[in-house]
Amino acid sequence: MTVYEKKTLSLLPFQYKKMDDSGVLLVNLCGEFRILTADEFSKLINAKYPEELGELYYPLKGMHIVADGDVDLAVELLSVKLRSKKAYLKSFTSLHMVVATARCNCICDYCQASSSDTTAHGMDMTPEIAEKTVDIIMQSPSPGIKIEFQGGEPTLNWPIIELIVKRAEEINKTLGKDLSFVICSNLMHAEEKWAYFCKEHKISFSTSLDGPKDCHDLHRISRDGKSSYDRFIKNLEFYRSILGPGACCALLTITKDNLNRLPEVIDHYREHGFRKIFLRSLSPYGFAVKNNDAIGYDVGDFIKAYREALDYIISLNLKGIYFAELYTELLLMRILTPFSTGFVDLQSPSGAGISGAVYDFNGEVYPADEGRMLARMGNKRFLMGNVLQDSYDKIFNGEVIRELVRNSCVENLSLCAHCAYQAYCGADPVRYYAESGDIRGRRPASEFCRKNMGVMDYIFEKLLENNEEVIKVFWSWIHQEDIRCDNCESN
Amino acid sequence: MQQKELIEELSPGLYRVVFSLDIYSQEALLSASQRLNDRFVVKIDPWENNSLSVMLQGKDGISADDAKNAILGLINDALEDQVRMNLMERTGNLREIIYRHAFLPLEERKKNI
Ligand code: SF4
Ligand code: SF4
Repeated sequence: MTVYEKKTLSLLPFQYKKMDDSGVLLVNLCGEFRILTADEFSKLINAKYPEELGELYYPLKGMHIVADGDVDLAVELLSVKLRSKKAYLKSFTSLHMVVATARCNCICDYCQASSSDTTAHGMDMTPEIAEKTVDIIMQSPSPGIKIEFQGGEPTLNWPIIELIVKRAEEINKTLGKDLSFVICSNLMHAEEKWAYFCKEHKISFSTSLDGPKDCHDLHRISRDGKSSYDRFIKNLEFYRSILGPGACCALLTITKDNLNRLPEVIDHYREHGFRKIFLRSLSPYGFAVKNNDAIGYDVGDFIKAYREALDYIISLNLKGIYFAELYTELLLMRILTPFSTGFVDLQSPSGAGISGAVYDFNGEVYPADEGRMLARMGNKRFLMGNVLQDSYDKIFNGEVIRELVRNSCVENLSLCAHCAYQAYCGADPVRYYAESGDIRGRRPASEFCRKNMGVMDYIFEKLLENNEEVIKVFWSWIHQEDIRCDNCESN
Repeated sequence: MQQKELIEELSPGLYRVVFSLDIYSQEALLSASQRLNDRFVVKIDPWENNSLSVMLQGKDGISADDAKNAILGLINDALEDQVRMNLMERTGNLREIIYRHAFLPLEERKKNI
């Protein structure tokens, strides 16, 4: 018989959610979870002494949902775990997106950046602005700095990429930060000298692939009228041949045309050597807003397609083919591990400005890519400053960033404050503003919330099924491990 | 108990539910009602005998059946949110201490230890 000390029971903070069949999901402050039956839950909230919880007492104490006399210890442990989970806040600001040009050789109908024609004037970053941009970036206190070149198509202004890379490396000789570079390119054009420059400076590529040729060409439209897909495939192979197979990752944009073809898109990714996919829904900016009727869909349809696609991906893994979905992988890290996982678009407070910042071609600095996209639509609500006139302190310690932080902690946003997924979720104030005109957002109507809620519901459905093989697949994504055995189908 | 005792239909598409403040807190009612603001325009007013009246006007396209089901959901959500508020009241103080402690500068944390 278990002997309990006769101490009163204290409840520690947690959130809960009634799951359809499985019971009540409890999540503590740092994201550890447990499922209780409805009876057990009712016992928990009514219990005054440990013995009233019976065999539940020790598991709940271990998970810091209840404490007996030693509340201090539980508080200490929870605060250490919470501090670890929020460690991404120490990297202020690590991701710096530089718009080398707003010109592009494509005119994708979902382009969030509302790109300009290749012949447009005054849309390129000048050397003076580029130098000032690097000087501001390198003042960031973050020990790791990633500079991501964006556009338009940034390679249309290649000299600026070289200038920024060389200047940042020069400054970093004394700073010793962990400095890295990524070029976001549509791969419509590639040059050998670019590839060797990237090799020398360890620059990787982030690109876009929307699926098979018909899917890709449908929305990723080349301004010269020829297939963008053919050039993408050719240049992908070219860069891989010089930079190695892992040098290019691809992002998928889901429109209503590939929404119901995701398994086929996934197979296409695999055929072209990708081992991960990010099932990314459309964002409400730029041309995507204008063309929403033609390319958009309801969040409910996205969630349905996500569930089917995730099942398909899991089934591939169960056959021994390693393939991961990146958003699920991120959320699994948050749900199943004690580690910190900052992600600019989904963290609390939001990563806008404090984890990532965007430097437009004209020197204007925005807290997020979406802020710059709103500016391109004529709304400079989120302008933090300009590298030509403003100091680092003025830009990164100004009212824009402070307002964003104050208003993007899920811990005190309405509905989020009581949501069981709070520990895994985040806020996107710039997106909220674009959706509803309110940086605190309007839940539950918010698409951002509906999407995240739907995705997390499904992940928990999978976790609570407790299928050992599926859980093994999830862990292989977290560990980035290929769980193939020798007998399995080749990848 | 019949449904009409829970929800009053004042005119087509306009409904009222009354909650006793002896049982429910204003916070719980605000929180539960807010969940319907995507489908209804919601107005909350003081009501007789220490109660609150929640008036809901359906937005475009919501059928009478869906509206009634959503409002029945509100009644359950209010109870649910009241439980959450009670839990919050019991644990809110500890939550604040944990957050404050977690974000203390390291030097201060060491001093505390
Ligand atoms: S989405 Fe990218 S490639 Fe397409 S038009 Fe916009 S900037 Fe160019
Ligand atoms: S955004 Fe939605 S899912 Fe995320 S914490 Fe807030 S209420 Fe929960």
